[in-house]
Amino acid sequence: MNTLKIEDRVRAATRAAADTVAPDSVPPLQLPSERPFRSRFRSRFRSREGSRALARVWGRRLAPLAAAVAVVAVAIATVMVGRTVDHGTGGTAAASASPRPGPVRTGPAVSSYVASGAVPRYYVSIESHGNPNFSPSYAVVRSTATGSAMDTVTPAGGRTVLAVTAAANDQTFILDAAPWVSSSSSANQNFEPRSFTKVSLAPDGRVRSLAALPLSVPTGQLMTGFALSPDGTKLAIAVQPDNNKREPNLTEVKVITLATGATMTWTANGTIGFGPDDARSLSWTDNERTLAFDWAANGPGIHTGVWLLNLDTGGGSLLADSREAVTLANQALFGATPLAGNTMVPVIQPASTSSEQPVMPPTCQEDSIITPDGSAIVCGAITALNETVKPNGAGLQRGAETEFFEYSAASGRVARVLGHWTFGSVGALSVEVLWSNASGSVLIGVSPDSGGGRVGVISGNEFTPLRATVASAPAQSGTW
Amino acid sequence: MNANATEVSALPPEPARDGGLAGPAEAVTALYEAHALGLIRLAVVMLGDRPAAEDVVQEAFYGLYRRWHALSDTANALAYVRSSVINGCRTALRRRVRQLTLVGAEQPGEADSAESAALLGEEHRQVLLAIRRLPSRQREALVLRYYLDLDEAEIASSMRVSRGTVKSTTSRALAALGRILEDQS
Repeated sequence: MNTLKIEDRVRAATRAAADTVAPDSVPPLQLPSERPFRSRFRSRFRSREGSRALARVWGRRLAPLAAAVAVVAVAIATVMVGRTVDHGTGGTAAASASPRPGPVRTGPAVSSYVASGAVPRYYVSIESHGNPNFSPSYAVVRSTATGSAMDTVTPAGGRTVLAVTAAANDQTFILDAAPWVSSSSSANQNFEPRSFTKVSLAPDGRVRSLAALPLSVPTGQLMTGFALSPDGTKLAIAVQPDNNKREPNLTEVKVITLATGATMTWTANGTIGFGPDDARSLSWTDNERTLAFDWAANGPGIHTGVWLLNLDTGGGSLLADSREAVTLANQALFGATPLAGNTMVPVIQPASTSSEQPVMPPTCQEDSIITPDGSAIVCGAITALNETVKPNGAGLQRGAETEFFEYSAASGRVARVLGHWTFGSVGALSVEVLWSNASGSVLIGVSPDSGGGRVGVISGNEFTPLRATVASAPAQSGTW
Repeated sequence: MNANATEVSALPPEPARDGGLAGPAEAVTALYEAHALGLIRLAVVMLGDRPAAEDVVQEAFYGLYRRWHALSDTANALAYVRSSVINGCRTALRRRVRQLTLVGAEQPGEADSAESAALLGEEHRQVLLAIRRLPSRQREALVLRYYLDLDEAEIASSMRVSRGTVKSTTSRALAALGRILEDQS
C-alpha cells in the first residue's frame, strides 16, 4: 500500500522520468535553410542512416510524424485529384469555383433549410446545470430552426447522459447514460455500466414516450461508439470488453435488433472512435447493409482510416467482412525507410496569408461519417495559420484554414470539398461533421470561431450558424 | 517552482538577439541551447517517448525560427516555444490516442523500455504508465500542475481553457489516476 498522496506520487514519477534525459544527451538543433518541413526530417534521417537497427528505431521515432506526413500526402494527393475531377466534370461550386480558401459566406436562414426539409427539425443536445465536470448531464430536445428547448429528459437514479444517437425520421433518439461519477470519486466514468433509453418525439418536438432498452454495456467495458440505424430498429455499438486487462486492443462491433435482442458480433484488434461514447465513430447507410467505422489498426506504426462493414455477413471477423474505403494515415506509405532522395512533398500556400512560409494543408479531425446514400465519407479538416505569441505573452494567436472533405466511398478520392474557408483568428481548432443529408450536399458541422467553435449548416461554400448550440464537445453540440 | 520548471520558464538575457545584432538562426540556437534540456524533459514526461520528445522540441524550435519575423516581441520567444512544445505533444498524442490513451495500451517509451526499467523504480514506472492511460487533456493538466508546478492561471493559458476547466480537469485526472493505480495494484 503506497501511503504517499497521489499528487506527490505524480510529482516524483514525472521528475524521475524527466531525469532520464541527461544534460549531455541533448541533440544539437538542426535548423534547415529555407526548406519545406518534410525535407528536414529526411535530412535528419540521413544523418543517422547506415544501420538497419537505427533505421528501425527511427521508423518508430517518426511514427507520429510519418502519420502526419502520410495524412498530408494523402490529403494533398486526393484533394488535387478530386479538384481535377471536379473541374473536368463540372463538379460542385465549392470545388470548382476556386481551389483557394476564402472567408466564410453566410448562407440562407436556418428556418429556410428546415422549411424545405433540407435539415431535420429537431436535435438533442447534452446539457448540464453549470460545469458538466461537476454536474450530471441531461438531454434537451431543441428546434433546429430556433434553438428553442422543446422538452427535457433527465435520467433517473443519479445517472448522467453521455451520448445521443438518432434515427433518420427526426423523431427517434437513443440516450446513452451511466451512473454519475463525481469529481471526488475514485471511479472512472468511462468504465461505468451503460444503459440506453429510447426517446420518441411527437411531431411538435415534445417527448411522446421514453422506453428503457433491455440491453446494457457492463461495468469495466469501454464503449467507443454507438449508432442507431436509420429506421430506428437496430443499434450498433463498439466496445472494448477487456480494456484494462488482458486484451486491451480487442474491439467488438455488435449490431442489436432492438425488438428481439438478436445480436450480430464482429471482432478485431484495433480501436474504433476517438474516445468513450463516441456517437459518430459508427455510421449507417440508409439501406442498413453497410456500417462505416473509424478504425485505427493495432500494432506498430499508425494506420487509420474509414472502413465499411458488410452487415450481410452476419458476424465474424470485423476486418475480413469490411473494406477500407479511405486511408487517413498510413505509416506504411513511407515505411521505416527514408524518403527517396528526390521525393518532394507539395505544400499548399494559402492565398490569404502574406507569410512566405508554406503550411501543411488541413487534415481530417475526429470522426468521419458515411453519407446515408453510401456514396461519400465526409469529415472536417483544419490547419492552423500564422501562429504568433499574443502581445501580452499569454498564449498564441492564430488563424485557421478549414475544409469539409467528401471522399468517394468507391474510389477513396476526394470528390467534393465544402466549406473551404480561412479564419483570421480562431480559438480552438474545432471542426467536425455532425450530420449529413443523403448525398452529403448539406452538412451540419462545427467550424472554428474565436471560442470553442460554432455549429451551423454547411451547403455549397456557405455556413449558417445555428442558435443555442455549443461546440465545446461534439456530443454536446447536438445530434440530428 | 522546482528545478525542472525553472529550466523551461526562465529566459536569460540575450543581448545579441534583443539588440537585433544576431539573425534568427543565432537567436533560436541560443535559445535552444539554454532551454532544450528542460523542454525535452517536459515532452518526455508528456509523451513517454524520448525520440518523439526530441522531434517535438526540434519542431517547436523550427517553428520559432520560421516565424521569428512575426513575433511581436522576441522576449516572448520562450513562452511561444513552450506552448509549441505542449501543442506538439498534444498533436503527437492525438495521433496516437486511439492506440494509447483510449485503449489503455502500454506505449513504447521510457517507462516501458529495458533501459528505463533500470533507471526508474517500479513505483515511478507504475505511476507513469497510469498517467499515460489518461486522456491527453487530463495528462497535460497533471504534468503542467505537478511536474512544472504551474499555477491554475498559467495552466489555463498554456492549455487555452478556463481556470475552472483546469481545476475540474485536474480533479478528474487525479480521480481517474487513483482508480487506475488501484486496479494495477
